[in-house]
Amino acid sequence: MGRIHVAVREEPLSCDAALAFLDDPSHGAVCTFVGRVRNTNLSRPVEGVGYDAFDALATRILAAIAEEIHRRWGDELDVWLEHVKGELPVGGVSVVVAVASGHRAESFAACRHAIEEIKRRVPVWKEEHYADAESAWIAGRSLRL
Amino acid sequence: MTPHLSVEFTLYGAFRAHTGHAPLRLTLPAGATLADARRELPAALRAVAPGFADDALLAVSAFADERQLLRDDTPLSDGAAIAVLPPISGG
Repeated sequence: MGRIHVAVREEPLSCDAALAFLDDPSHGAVCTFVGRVRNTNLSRPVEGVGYDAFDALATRILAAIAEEIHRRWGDELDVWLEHVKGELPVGGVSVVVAVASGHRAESFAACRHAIEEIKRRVPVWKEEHYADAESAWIAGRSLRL
Repeated sequence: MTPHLSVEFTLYGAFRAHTGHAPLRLTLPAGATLADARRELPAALRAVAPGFADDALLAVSAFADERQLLRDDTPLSDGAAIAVLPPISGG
């Protein structure tokens, strides 16, 4: 049975920790996605981003996404999903998705699925801080049922 | 039967500019649902943040507890803690 790790963290996210978690001789493939703070948005210079999160529900939904990966691509996959909470500078890591599998097709597909579902379902919000000292919460996708 | 319900609402994301991290507490009649709370929230927000005028943000916001998203017809219980989730933008 593959392992699952999910978290919303206020400490810096670590790709090395993800790769160590996924280290297993049965895995011939590890696919990672790392989300970072970009220095512009819609041509406006960005200096940093603050992330707010509803930790309890966010963690449950991350776990649900990981379990979906097991059902869809096989429960032998190892899955690491972490999202940050708090302030990040440009280049800071906001999300780490990492999936390990025997062969590459499953890792690539599951990794893509995970980041798309995180953006679609996980209750996290970003407030961009601009070079002109203004800040703005980014409009997103409604979760209203 | 409790004649009134006291329910705590924690508002996330863009609402932080108005409420900070302090939850709003609403007193609602017994039998109230989240739809009733949705109608009361704009006034409750303006009571603590007179400059709040983004009723449209509340209209597109979801309700949730720590386990799941909740529909507006969900009945409320005394002492419940509800999260108000504006449109998400993580990743």
